[in-house]
Amino acid sequence: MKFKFNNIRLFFGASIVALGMVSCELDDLDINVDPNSASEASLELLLTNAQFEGLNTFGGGLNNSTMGFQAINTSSDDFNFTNSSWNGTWNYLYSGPLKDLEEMINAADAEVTPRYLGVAQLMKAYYFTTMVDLWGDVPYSEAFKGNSVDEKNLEPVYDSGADIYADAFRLIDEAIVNLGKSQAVPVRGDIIYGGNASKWIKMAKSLKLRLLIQTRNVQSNAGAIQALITEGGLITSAADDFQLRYGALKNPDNRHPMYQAGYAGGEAGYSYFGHQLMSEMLANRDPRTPFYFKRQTSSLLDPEEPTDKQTIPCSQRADCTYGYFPLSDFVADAVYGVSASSLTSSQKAYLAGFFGRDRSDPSGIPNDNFLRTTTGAYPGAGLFDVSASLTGGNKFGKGDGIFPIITSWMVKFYMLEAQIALGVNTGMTEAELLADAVSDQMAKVIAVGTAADANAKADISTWPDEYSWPITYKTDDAFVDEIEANYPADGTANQRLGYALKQAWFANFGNGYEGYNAFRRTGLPADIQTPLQLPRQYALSLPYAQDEVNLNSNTPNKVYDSPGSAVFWDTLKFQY
Amino acid sequence: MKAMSNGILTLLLALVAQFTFAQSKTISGTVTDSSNVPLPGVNIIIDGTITGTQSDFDGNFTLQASVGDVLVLSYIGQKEVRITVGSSDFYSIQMEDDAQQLDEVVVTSLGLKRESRSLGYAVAKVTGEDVQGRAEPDLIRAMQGKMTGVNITGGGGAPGQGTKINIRGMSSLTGNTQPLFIVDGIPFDNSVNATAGAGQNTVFSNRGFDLDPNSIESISVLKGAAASALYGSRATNGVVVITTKGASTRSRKGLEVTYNGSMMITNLSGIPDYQDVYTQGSNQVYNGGFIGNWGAPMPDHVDRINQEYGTNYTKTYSLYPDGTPYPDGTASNPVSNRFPGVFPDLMQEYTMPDGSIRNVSAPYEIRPNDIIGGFFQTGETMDHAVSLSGGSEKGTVNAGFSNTNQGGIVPNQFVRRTSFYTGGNATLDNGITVSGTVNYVNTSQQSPKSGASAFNDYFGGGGGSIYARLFYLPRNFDLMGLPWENPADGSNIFYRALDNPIWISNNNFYKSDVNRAYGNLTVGYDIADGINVTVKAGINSYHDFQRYNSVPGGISDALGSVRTVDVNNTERDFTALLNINKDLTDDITLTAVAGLNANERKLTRRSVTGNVIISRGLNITSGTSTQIVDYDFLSLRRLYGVFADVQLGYKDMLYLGLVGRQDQSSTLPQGANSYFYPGASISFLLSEAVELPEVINSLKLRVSNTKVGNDATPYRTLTNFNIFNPFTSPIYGAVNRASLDNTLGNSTLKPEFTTEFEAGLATTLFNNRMSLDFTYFNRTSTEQIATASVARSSGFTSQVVNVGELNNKGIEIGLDVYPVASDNFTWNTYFAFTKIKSLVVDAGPNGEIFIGGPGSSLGTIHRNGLPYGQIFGTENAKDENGNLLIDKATGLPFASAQSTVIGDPNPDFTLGITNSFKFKNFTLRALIDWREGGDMYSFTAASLMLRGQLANSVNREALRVVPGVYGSNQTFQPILDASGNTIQNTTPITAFDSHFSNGWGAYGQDEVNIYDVTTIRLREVGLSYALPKSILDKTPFGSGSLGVSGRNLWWKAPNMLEGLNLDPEVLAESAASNVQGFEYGATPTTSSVSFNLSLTF
Repeated sequence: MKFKFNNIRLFFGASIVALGMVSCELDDLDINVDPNSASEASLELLLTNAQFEGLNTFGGGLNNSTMGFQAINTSSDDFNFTNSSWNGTWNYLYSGPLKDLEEMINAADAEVTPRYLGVAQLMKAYYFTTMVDLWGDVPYSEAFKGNSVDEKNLEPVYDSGADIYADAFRLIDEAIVNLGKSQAVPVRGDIIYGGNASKWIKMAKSLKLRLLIQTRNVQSNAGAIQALITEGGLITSAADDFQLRYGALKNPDNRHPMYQAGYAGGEAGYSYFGHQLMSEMLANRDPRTPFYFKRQTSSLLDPEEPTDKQTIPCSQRADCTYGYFPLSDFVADAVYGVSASSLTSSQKAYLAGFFGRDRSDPSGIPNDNFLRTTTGAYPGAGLFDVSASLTGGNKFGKGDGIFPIITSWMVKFYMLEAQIALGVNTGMTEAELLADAVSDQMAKVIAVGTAADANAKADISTWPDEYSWPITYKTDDAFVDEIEANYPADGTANQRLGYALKQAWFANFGNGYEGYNAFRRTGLPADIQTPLQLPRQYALSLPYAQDEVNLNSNTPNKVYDSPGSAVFWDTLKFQY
Repeated sequence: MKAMSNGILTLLLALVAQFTFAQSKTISGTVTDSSNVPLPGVNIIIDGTITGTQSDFDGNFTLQASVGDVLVLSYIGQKEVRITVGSSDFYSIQMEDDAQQLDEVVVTSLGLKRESRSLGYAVAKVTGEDVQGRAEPDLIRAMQGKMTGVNITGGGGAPGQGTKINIRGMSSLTGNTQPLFIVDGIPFDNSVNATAGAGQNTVFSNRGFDLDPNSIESISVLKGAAASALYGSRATNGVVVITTKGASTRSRKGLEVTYNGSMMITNLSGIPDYQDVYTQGSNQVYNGGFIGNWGAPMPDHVDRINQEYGTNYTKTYSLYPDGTPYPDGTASNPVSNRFPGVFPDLMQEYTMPDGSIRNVSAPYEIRPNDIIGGFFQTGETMDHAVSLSGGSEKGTVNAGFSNTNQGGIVPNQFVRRTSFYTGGNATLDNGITVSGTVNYVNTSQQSPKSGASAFNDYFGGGGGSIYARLFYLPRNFDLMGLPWENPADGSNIFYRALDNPIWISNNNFYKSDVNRAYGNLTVGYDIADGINVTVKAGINSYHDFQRYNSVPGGISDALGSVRTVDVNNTERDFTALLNINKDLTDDITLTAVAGLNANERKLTRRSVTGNVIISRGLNITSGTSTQIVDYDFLSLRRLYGVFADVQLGYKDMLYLGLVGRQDQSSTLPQGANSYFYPGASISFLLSEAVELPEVINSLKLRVSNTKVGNDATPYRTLTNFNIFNPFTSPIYGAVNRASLDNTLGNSTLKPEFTTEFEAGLATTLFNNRMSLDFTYFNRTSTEQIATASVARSSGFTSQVVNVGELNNKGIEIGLDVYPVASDNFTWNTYFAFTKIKSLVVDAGPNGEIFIGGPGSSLGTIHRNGLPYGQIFGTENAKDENGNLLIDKATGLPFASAQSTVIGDPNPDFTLGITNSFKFKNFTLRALIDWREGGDMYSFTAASLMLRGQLANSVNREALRVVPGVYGSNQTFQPILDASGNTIQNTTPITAFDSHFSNGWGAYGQDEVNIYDVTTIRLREVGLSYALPKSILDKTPFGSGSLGVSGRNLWWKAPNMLEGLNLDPEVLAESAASNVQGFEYGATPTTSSVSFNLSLTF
C-alpha cells in the first residue's frame, strides 16, 4: 500500500473547506437551555395570571351556564351534560391559574412578602370554595404536586367539600394576619385592588361571610356571622367591591365574555336571555332594563309567513308562558295591561326587541342572531339600549365591563339572609337592608353602563325626553323605594327570604354563582318558570371532567343530577 | 455556491500531481454487454495488483500489462470476466448479464451503494421515472402505492397541501412519526411549520413539497432499523434517501438536454348525491334563513308529495307585507331581505291594500341549485422541467431548471414552485473525487381561507372559511347567481351572518412563500486500493414567510386583520467516512464503513398579528391599528455520532453485517446524553449454496435485529415559566404575567429506543419472470419520549416521560410478475401488500395518552392493549345487549355517561397493484390501491345528515321510531316493565328530529359518525408513447415520448355513508400530527389528468 502524501494533504485541505461550511461549534452540546421561557417568575407576574385567567374562566362559560341554571339565559338550561361538558374548563383551571396561585403561595414568604401571600390565600379560598360549590369534592390537599420534588403526585385524592371549606376559613384568617403585616415592596400585579391591603382585608371578611351563609344549613353559623357583622370592615361600598374589570383590547382579547358573545363574533350571538327575566323587568318598569338588554330589532315577525314562522320563539310549542312578546297576551298584559291585539304598533315594535326564550325551550335554533336580545351596557360594557340596532363584528361598544364577584350588595344580601334566617342583628330593618342592597347594585349598573356607553343617561328622569321608548321606567330612587315599601315584613321567614332572593335574582345579573348557590341553599326564589323540557334533573353539581376520570383513579363516580351528588352544604337537594 | 464548487474543482485540478505506473506493454480493448452495447466504467484490474483502469464511454480501455497477467473485469449487474493477457494487444470482451436480479445495486445508508444480495434487510427503491409525469406535483404523493411497508396519505386537494408518510406504522406515541428525508446525503427538513391549529383557516404544506419530482434521479426507502441505523437518532421512523439529478453520477458523453413538460387539469374527486326535493327550513316548513334542508318540498315536488302522503303543502314560500302570497314557487329574496337598500334590482315596488307603495324583496325562484359544482372550478397546472447533463471520463456536470404552476379547484388557490440545481462530480487523476450540488427552490402557496367546517360551524366556531358551510348550503340557495359583495364598500354579502365562500375566495387568504437553498460538497480520496475516505458537508436552509389576511367587511373578522409568520430553518450536517472494500481471502470479502457525523438544527419562528386594517387592500401589519407579537421562538439542537458498519461476505453467498452507532445529543440531560445502539444482519443466498429446483432462479434469506436510538426535542428537561401577553386593564394599564408551563419537564430524560427484528426472503422464479420479496418485521419502541397527559389536578396537563412500549409488527409482500414478455408486448404486474398490526403495550402510568383532536374529549387516544391512536368520543347509551337506550319523552337516544373508544383508524392491510403493458412504443400502466378497514370520524357525513342534504334523506314525511328500549339517563339502565322485561321504544319522532336533534349527525353522539373507510382506488393510470426512431431521425431529438396520465380518477369507499361520495383519504390535522382517523370537513381530494411531453436532445 502506497500512500500519496500530497494527495492526503490536499484531501484534508478540501475537507476543512467542507467543514467550514457547516460551522465550527458542532461539538458544543451544552445548548439545551430554553431561550423561550424563564426559569423564574416573580410573584407579581404569577399574581396577575392567577387573577386574570382564573376570574376570566369563572366569569366565562361557567358563569353563563350557572346563570342558565337560574333562567337568566338559556345556556345549559336543560342540565344535559356529559363528562366532556366541563372537561376543558376543569383542565384549564387546574393546570393554569390555580396552579400559578399555588406556585405563588409556595414562593411567597410570610415574613418577607406577607401581603402577596395574603392575596394569594384569599384568591385560593375564593377559587376553591367556588370549585366545591360547582363540583362538590375536588382535589385539593394533594393537588398541584406534579412538580413536587418530595411529594410528586399525579393522581391527587379528592378532598371533601366540607374539608376544603374548613381550610378556606383557615386561609382567610391567615390572610388577614398576613395582609396586616408590612411588606417592604408594594404588591404589584394585582388587577383587583391594585395591592391595597385594607381592601383585601375587607374582601377576606366578606368572603368569610359568604362562606358562613353558604354553610348555614350544615353548621350553626349565627354566632360567627354576628361577630363578623359586629366587627365591621366588610365590603359595604362600591369602592371596595371584589370584581374583575375586563380590558377593552381585542387582541389579545381581554374583553368581557358576555361582550365577546354579543359584539365580537358574526354568527356567534349571545345565547337567548330568559323571557321571564325580561318580561318581569319590563312589567316592573325596572330602570336596569335598558342597561341589561340591548334590542337588535324592532321588526315584527309574521306568524303566517313561512320563514318568519320558523323564527318566532315558541312557534313550535304550545307550552310557553311568555312566547313571542309582541304576540303574547301574557306579556302584553303584564307589561301594558292589555291583550296583545290591543298593543300599539310602537309597543309591539318595542317588545319585538325583547327576543329570548322561555326556560329550556328545546326548539332548534333558527337564523335569529340578528333578532336576539343581546347583552347591554351592564355588565359587559356593550351598548345602552337607546334604540334597536345590530351589534356584532367588533364594531360597537368597548367590552371593558365587570364580573361582580363579591360586591357590597351581595354582602348586604348575605346580611339580610342572616337576619331573616338566623336572627342575626345587622342594626337595620330587613327592608332597609334590602333597599340598600338594591340601591348599591342600581348605582353600579348606572355607573358601569354610563361609562360604557356615552348615550346612556345616568339621570333616569330625563329618559322620556331622551329616548323614544313606549315605556316609562321608574327612576332608581322610586324603584328602590317601591321595593322597600312592598317588603313583606309581616310575612313568614320564607316569604321574606323569597322576596329578598327574587331581588337578588334581578341584581346578580352577570354573576350566576350567587343565584345557583342561593337556589340550592334555599329553593328560592320559588317562582322561576318550570323548564319546558327536562331531559335531566336539576344540576345539583357538575359532572367531573372526562380527562380526570381517565387519568386520576381517585375520581369518584357520580351522577351529577342525583341527590347523592349534592354539595355538602346543600340540604335541600332540589328535584323537579 | 455554484462558483464556489467550480472554483474548488479548478483548484484541485490544477494542483493534482500526475502519477504513473510501471509498465511492460500497452494493451487495449472494448467491453460490451451481451447485446453488444458498450459498457462504460467497467473496472479492469490486473489480478493480484492494484493496477487497473476503467473502460471509457465507448467501452474502450487501455492498460499496461504483461503477458500472463490476468485481467479481472467487474461491473455491477454483469458476471465477472477473467482474461489472461496473451500476445494480442487488443481484446474484445463481451460480459454476460448476471441473471440474478438480486445483484441490483441499491443506495443504502449514507448513500453507500450496495449489492442487494448482500443486504440483510429490505430496501425499497423508486426511480425517477416512477414519479414523473404522474399528474402529481407532490413527490411524496407520487410515491403512493409503489412500495410495501410505506403508507402515504395526502392532506387534501389544495395545491401544495401536506402529505403524511409513515413507514412500517407509527413508532412514536406523541412525537414525530415522519421519516427522515436525506437529499444528496444531507438531511432535508420536511416540517409542516403549522403555526396554527387545524381549526385555523389555513392549508398547510410540508416542506417535502419543495422537491420537484422532475429533479429526482432515484429514491431508496430504508424501512427498517437495520437499514437506517447508520443515520442514527432520526432514523427511527425510517429514511427516504433521495438522489437528485444534480447529484447523478450516471456517466454520459457529451451533452444531453431533456425537457419534460406537462399540462394538468384537476377537478373535485366527488360530489355528494344531494337531495333536491326539500327546501331549507325545519319541520317541513320553509325558512329562508336556515342552513338545514328540512323545509317544505320544492315546488316541483309539492303535488307529488301531497298525492303520495295526503299532505297539504303549497307552493307558497313567502308572503308580502299584507299577507298576500308571493307567486307560486317563489320566495322573498334571501339577500335583499338582509340588505334591502343595496341591490335595487332585487327589490320590487308593492302596492299595499291601502294604496301605499312598499319597497319589498322581488320574488326569488325556489329551485335546486348546483352549489358545489358551481363554486369549484377546474384547476389548471403547467409544469416544465429542463435538465442538462454532460460529462467526460473525468466527471459529469448536471444542471436543471423546473417550474410548476398548479392551480386549485378553488378560485385563487395555487402553488408555484421554481427550482434550479447544478451539480457535478469529478474524478481527478490522482484519485481524488469531488462532487457537489447546489439547489434553490421557491415555493409560493396561496389559498383562500379554508379551515374545516368542524371548527367553523360546531365547537362555537367563528367561521371565516370557505368550507364553513359550503358543502351543506341550502339546496335552493343560488350561491352563484346571487350577489356576494357589497358594491359600495366591498363588504361581504350573504343570506345570513356568515362569510360568503365566494367573498372569502376573493379576499381572505393564507399565503406561504418559501425560499430554500441547499447544497453539499463532497471530497473523496482512495487512500489505497479498497480504502477510501470521504468527507461530506452540507447546508439546507429555508425561510417560510406566511401571511394570513382578512379584509374588513366580513362577518368573522369585521374589521380585518393580518398575521405574518416567519419561519427560518437551517440544518448543517457534516459526515466523514472511511470505506474499506477488501477481499480478505479468496472467499471472504470485507466491506466496512466507519465514520462520524455532526448535525445542527436551528429553527426560529416569529409571529406578529395586526388587527383592524386601516386601509382596505393594504394587508400589512404596519397598516393595522394594533399589533401584537404572538411569539418569538428559537430552537437549537445538535447531535454528533460515530458509527461503523462492517459486512463480511463469504463466497458471495453468505453475508454478515454488523452496525453500531454512538450518539451524543444536546437535547438530553448533560452527562446522560450519550447512547449506543447496535445491530446485526445476515443475508444468505440459498440458491448459491445448494441446488434448488429449476423454477427457482435465486433465493435469498435475510434476517436482522437492530436497535435505533432517538433523542428528544429541545428543551424538554426543565419546567419553566412562560411569559404571556400582558393583560391590559382600564385601571392599571398593561400588566405583565407569567405562568408555569403546564408540561412537566424531565431532568432525567433518557433516549428512546426502537428495536426491530426483520426477516425476509427474496426469490426469483420461472426464468426470472416472477420475483417475490417477503418481509416480516417486529419492531418495539421502548422508553418512548412522550408527552403524556396527566390528571390536571396535578397542576399540569402533561409530563415529558420515558414511557412504555409500542409494538408494530407486520408483513410486506412485493410480488413482481411478467405474465407476458415478448419482443413486442410485455405485461408486468407488481403487487405491494402491507399489513401492520400495532399495539400500545404500555402507554405510561395512566395506561393511556390522549393526544387531542377536534374536541377536548373527542380525539385520538393511545390506550394499553389497543392499537395505535384509537378514536375516542361519546357514544349512545346502550343496554348490555347492545340495544340503544331511548328517552321515553323524546324518543331519542342519549349519551352514555362517559366517552370511550369508538373506532380504530388503522387499516387492516393495504395493497397496491401496478399493471403495466408495453406494446411496441406504447406503455399503459395502472395503479390500483386497496385499503382495507380502518375507521374515520367524518364531520362532512355528520353535517350532511344533520342538514338533511343527502338524497337518502328524501323519505321524511312519515314519523319514525328509533329502534331501542326505554332507558334512564340517570342510571343508564333500561327501564323494565312489571315483569322485568325491557320495553321496546314506540315513541315516534320526525325525520327532522331523528337527524337534527340528539340523533344521527353532528349534534348526536360521536360514535354515529364513525365509518369504515375501506377504499379501492384507481390511483394512477397512464398511457405513453415513445416516439419511434423513424420520426425522431427527422428531428434534432434523440428520444421523445408523449403521454397522458390520470390520478385518482375513480375510487369507491363502500362502507361510507351512502351517497356521501367523500374521498376518505384526507388528513384532518397536519401531516406532523399524531391525531388520526378524523375528517373535519375541509379541503376534499381531487382527481387529475395530465398530458406529458418528454424530449431529449
